[in-house]
Amino acid sequence: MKDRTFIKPDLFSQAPMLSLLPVLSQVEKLKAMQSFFYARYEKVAAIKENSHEKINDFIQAEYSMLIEILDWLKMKPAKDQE
Amino acid sequence: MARTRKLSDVLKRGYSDQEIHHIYELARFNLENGQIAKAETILKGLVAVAPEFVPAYLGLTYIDLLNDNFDSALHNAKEAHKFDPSSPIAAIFLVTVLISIGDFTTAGSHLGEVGDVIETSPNQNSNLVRFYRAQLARFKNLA
Repeated sequence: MKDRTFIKPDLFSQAPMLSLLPVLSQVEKLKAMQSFFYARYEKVAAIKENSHEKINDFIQAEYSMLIEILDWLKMKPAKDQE
Repeated sequence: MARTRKLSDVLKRGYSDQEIHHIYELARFNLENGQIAKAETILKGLVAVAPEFVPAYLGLTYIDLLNDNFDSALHNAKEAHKFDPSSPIAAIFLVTVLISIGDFTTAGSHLGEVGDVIETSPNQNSNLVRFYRAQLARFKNLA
């Protein structure tokens, strides 16, 4: 059997700009903050629900971000569980 | 002398530095795994809750360039450079966008500034040096 040595290309050669983005933490650390993100989601969802006017873009952006975080944490927002 | 601004100095709408950093890492993780739309949603949320958080603008600039959204790329690159004018990464991202839209005059002046920083810093990030040289070559070919 031939010995096939595969050298994984470095990130720079695949996506140079991506390799320059700063590394600030570890994604796994989000797992320790599940309750914070869930509570935050509930708060923002309540603001969104009770708002009679057009939802503020900032609230909508935060809401969508929290949905992505909860999805990664495999936590379903309460509304989706019904 | 420019005042160095800590993230904790700025408005973060209820999030700590640590939480902002962890969320940003999820966006970067998605980018590395090709989940561009998810990363974009997270980064847009980050700039909504932390409007001066430079790494989020850098990530959005990268996504905009991937999607050929040059107006948005220019906006995000300018925001990153505005909030951290001493960052060579923010400056080289701005240069990259400026070359892409054909603004070679402005690109040239920023390129000179980045070059000075890189030449005078002995322990510079090797990827940054490589990327700077690539943009310099691109500038010389196109300008």
